[in-house]
Amino acid sequence: MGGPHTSLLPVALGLSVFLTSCSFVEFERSPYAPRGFDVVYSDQEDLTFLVWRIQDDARLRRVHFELFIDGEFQPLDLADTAFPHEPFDCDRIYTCVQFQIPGRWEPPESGPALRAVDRRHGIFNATEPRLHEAPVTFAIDPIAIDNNRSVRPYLFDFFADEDIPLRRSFQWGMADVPVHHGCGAEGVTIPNVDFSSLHDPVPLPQGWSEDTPCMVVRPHRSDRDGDQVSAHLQPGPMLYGERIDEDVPVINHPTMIAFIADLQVVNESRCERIISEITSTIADALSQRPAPHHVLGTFRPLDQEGQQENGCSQNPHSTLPIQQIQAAIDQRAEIWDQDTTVVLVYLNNVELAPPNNHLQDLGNLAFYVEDRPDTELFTWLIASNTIRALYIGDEGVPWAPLEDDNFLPALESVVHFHFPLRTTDGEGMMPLTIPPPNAAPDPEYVRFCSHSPTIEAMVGPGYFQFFYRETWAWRRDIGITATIPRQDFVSFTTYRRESVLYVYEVCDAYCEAPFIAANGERYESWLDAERCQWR
Amino acid sequence: MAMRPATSLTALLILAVGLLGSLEAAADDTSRATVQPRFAEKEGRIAAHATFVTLFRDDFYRTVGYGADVSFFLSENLGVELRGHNFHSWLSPTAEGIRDETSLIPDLRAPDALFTGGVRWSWGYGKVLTLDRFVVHFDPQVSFHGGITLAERRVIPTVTPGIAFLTHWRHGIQIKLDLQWTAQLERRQRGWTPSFGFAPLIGVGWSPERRLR
Repeated sequence: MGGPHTSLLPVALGLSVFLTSCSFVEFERSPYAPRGFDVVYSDQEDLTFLVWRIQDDARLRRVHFELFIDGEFQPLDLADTAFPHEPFDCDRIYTCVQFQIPGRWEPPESGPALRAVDRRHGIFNATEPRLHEAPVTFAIDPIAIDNNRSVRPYLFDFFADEDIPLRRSFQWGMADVPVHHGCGAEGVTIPNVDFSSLHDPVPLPQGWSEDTPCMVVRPHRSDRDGDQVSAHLQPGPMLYGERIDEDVPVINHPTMIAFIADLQVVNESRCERIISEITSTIADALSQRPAPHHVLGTFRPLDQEGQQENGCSQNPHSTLPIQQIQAAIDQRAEIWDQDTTVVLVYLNNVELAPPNNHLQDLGNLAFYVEDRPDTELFTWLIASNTIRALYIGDEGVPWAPLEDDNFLPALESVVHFHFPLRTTDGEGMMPLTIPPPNAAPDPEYVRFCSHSPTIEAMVGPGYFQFFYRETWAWRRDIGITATIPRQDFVSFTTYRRESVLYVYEVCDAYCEAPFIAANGERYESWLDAERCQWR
Repeated sequence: MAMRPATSLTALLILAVGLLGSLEAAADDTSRATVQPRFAEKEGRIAAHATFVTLFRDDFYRTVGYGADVSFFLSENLGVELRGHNFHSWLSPTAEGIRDETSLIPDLRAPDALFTGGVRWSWGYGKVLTLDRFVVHFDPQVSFHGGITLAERRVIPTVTPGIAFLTHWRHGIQIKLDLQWTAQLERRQRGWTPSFGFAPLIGVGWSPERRLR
């Protein structure tokens, strides 16, 4: 071991220390240096509030603060003050520290007013203080809410308004003191008040509104009772929210159906089978629908002697049995005695226009049904492409042989899509009574908070007023009429179900008193506000 | 504010020359060179040291510390080690002047503690006669540690490569000199910022002669 090179080692090490050390240092304000130093003198409390910030990554147990008082820096005991509070997180990246001094404290004319003494790094001076002067630092303007079960004090806090973080709590109490005995007067101390912690809102004792209530609030000081503020507490409106949420009734009309066979099928037994399969498929599908139906029959053309043909011969001299169909319609309509759908199903598989007399018969039949006051015509063509192109019915299904797997299911689908036809009940106006809330023994006003659809009028026994404002004096058996968009004999699946939704609130006492609406804003009179407390 | 670029290449070259000079140049044969008999062996033994350390980072702080480490050698060459230091830091006179005038301090926090774990490679064994009377047995070593530095509320990833001279004395007593470089990545207000430094360490410890395995 050993040698001339080993003597280089200490030199190399020294150079290493010198050359390898680098920390890319920039200087920044110390986390312990107080900044954002707010000084507020309160005339009302004759107290100077000091609030300052240090960076939130500073270790507080390493530091204490000194304030320039009476010509010298004096250490502060943060627990020995009017409103002691642990330093708390504030302004996102800071820790706030607060201290109060009785009377008015003035910073020195020059030099720092506050400093932090860090055990590791020494003394850090605070930034220049920001001086504020506040005649009033707290006040209340209480309002009873929640049907007078609690009160929101509406505490004015100068520090909160000015974004000066200050942590202190308040106490409240109620006293039976009228205004002319000092309630609400500045600088008056209300005696014999039982104080407890103030929250927002605070629950109120039952029956308080019958007294002459005076709400008293004071800050919770550690050294003595805080200065009081008081205000007369007025009962708030007694409001009860209700809602009407109903579906608009709908009529499912009964369906009577007549099949008119006007086919060209050579084989008679096949003809019968075709007619039978079609009519039974449709009748079976109708039987599954939620309304009564009646099959008037399968009607076939009559020859020149008035004899019924088989319906598959396409005799150009035949006529359709219109009178028989009319008679069947009359008979069934008399039994049902209500608005009814008459479905005429015309079966024609020929790619030619039907005889003119058949067309005339069908037209006469359609006029007959439409002229009746209690029937609605629905024409359904199960026919060749030519027929369906020539004559437009309410529904059309292309003719296909029975062997086509899609033919009969298509007929079932038509039945399920359309029947029963539906109509909105009523004549476009829906009457609704407004039930008074159970808890409101003596309603004075009703206010509509939301309405859908539009209210047409306020109605009652011997009373009718078009609806033009939201708030109405309460009347016995009061109701509303709503305009409902009417749908008449609409296919079952395309009918749009309608509903009504009305939210209203009833006021039965103190209706002119202040209240807080659902939007969170305060209004000085419920009656004038045109706002609801309930949504 | 003040900033100095790191230029370690020259120093490392010089250091390498110094270290290589301590090697026996005559080891031409392929068999492993040995020193017979070894005064102290490390394999299977645990060792603990009390340490005194300083940290130079050119950071406007004066930093000294003390601590302890515990190592265990898996073989005569390779050991694992845990280490902890407690630091005491204070502002340098320059920084104090700036603080007094402006309330500004360096944007990196003064270190409070360092905890690392790592490996130690003993790449040789030697003895040297000093003052014609004392024979000092020693291991030249390299080490590599990783861990964290606690600096006030910041937790800073840290690695410390280094070289060391471990000397063996009677009754299992050891004295070592560790020359560690430090590399840290600290999240300062302006973002993640590296810092490089040098942390020489003196340790005095003891390794029992009985093997653990």
